[in-house]
Amino acid sequence: MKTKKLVAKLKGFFDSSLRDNEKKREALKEVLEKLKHKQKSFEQKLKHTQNQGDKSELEKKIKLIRSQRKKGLELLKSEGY
Amino acid sequence: MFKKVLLPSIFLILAYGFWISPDFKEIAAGVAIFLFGMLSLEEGFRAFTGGVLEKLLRRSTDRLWKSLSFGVVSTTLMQSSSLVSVLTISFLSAGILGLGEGVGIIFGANLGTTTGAWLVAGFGLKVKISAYAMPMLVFGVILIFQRPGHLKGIGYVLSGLGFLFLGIHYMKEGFEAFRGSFDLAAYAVSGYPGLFLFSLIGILATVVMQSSHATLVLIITALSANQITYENALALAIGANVGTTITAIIGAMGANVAGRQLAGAHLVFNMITGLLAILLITELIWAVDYISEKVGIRDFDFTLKLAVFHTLFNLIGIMVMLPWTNHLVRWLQRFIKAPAEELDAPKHIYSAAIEYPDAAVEAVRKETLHIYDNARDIIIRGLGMSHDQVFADELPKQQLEKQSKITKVDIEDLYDRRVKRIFSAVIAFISRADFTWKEKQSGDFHWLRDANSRIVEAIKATKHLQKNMLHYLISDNHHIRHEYNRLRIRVAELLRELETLRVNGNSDVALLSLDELKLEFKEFERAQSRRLFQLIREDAITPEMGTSLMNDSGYLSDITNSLLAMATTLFVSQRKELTGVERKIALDDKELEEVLDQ
Repeated sequence: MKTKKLVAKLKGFFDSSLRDNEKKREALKEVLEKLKHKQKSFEQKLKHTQNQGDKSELEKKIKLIRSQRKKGLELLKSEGY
Repeated sequence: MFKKVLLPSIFLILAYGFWISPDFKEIAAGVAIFLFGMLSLEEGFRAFTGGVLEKLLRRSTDRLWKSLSFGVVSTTLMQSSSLVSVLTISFLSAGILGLGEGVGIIFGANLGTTTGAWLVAGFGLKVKISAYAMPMLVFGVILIFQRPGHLKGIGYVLSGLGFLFLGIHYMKEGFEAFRGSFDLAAYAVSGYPGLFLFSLIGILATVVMQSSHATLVLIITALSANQITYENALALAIGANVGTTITAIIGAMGANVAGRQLAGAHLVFNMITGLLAILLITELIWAVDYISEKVGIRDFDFTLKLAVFHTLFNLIGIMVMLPWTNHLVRWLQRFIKAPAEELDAPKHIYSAAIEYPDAAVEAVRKETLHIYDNARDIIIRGLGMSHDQVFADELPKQQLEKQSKITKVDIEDLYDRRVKRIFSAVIAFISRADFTWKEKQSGDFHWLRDANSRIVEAIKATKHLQKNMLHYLISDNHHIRHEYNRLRIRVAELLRELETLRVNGNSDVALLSLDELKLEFKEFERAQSRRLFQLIREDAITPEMGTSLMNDSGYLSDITNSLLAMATTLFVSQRKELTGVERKIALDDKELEEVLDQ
């Protein structure tokens, strides 16, 4: 198992497409992190909002970000990443 | 001011004329019926313009002599040089014809129009043409009520001819009665002053009636009733020939540069022909007498002689002008040019930029923004709004709701003038650049090309949306008015959001925040669909209105999706990897629906 990993790493070192993939993976992690922050800030706002219209607006946005994050996490688990 | 007074003044003068002379009333009614016939004829030919005429035009105008003959034949058939010139202008504007061919047709039309004089002089005044008019009108009107387009077209042509004949009949009757009470011939002026005076009257009469044909018929009937002298009739015919260009000039006002150039050619040709006819009047009269004698026209048959004269001087005009056609075309193209701001050109792409990949990408990006700015303006104006309204601090929804008058702008024309050229240049540039190097910039170009296409799609969708929108925005039914206003307010809101994104394009996950806009739009669509069925159920709008609204919501959806797709490339500026990833995470239609259903 260890040798396999080592070979994969070596391969990655010489293979530019794998290097690119690594970059993409990092970017995906960065985007997911940002989305998480955005979601948190919306949730904070929601706690302090009394207006019903604003509340449902924020809830909708949170739902949207959740879906985006879910899609992003699935992508992270998939093979290409 | 002058325009406001003109029409009431004409009405007053005519009314006074009708009051003092019933004969004048009959002549005027004859002219009116004649003109109505021309309108009907025009309507009839319009039914055939789609296919047959277009094919014929392409095939029969590829050489100068062909376009000349085409002008003669088509004008003879349609009996209206104005119709032929206006049609030619429209074909020219559409780019089917070149200016050279157009000029050829106009020259030919001038000769073709003289056949009208032959018809009226040789046939119209001898037989009781009203006898032919009546059955034509009856058959024509029955055909107009038929559903198939070509039958309708024939109906309009037949009833048009019927009205023409009926008009001639009334003019003839009027002049014959007029003769008894009033002698116009007493006012005849001889020599060159008379020639110029009557030419001027001919011009004026044709300008007022918008038809040299009508003037000519009037001249012939007046001449046959001995109301004017032969010489004066000749001068009137010369004037009518010059005056007829006014229809083409009016027609060209709304046309593009090519149309205006053609109207210019028409004016130049008819002015020169007119001047030549005045200068050579004695020789022409002699030639007319000579030809008349040879073909057996009697000495005192002035109406037929007038027809000979009309044909002869137009023929001379063509013979004089034909060798100069190419010069005339070149001169017109130099003299009548598109105003600088009318045709927008590329500002940022230039061939040198192609050498430097990053500079090339940046140039295309800037040019695409340039296209977007023009497209945004077209979309706003196309939907009857203004830039100031859409980008005011707060969107003036109330003001838009109450708008009672909407100016229609020609989106196709605006697209041709302000987008197409730049769009083509960008595509050409990208294609060349793609060919030159295949590096990472090719990926950028892919998205920029896509953004360009999306902008154009948004304009096309606006064009479709405009058709019903302008109609329903001023409808008496306030429900449908309100719904269509919502559609355009939705467009305005989208444009405002995009502008915000343009400024904050480097903020965190900017691309993904576009999903919020998509979600909002989905909600809007759902709410509208619910309202739509309720309105139909409650009989507040007709099912026809409902289906129009459904289709037009589809166009709104096209505009929204296209502009949002464009914005992901054009307005979001961040690291390339981040953009790539965000594009992958962005939710599709189905996923957005699921969010709404949660």
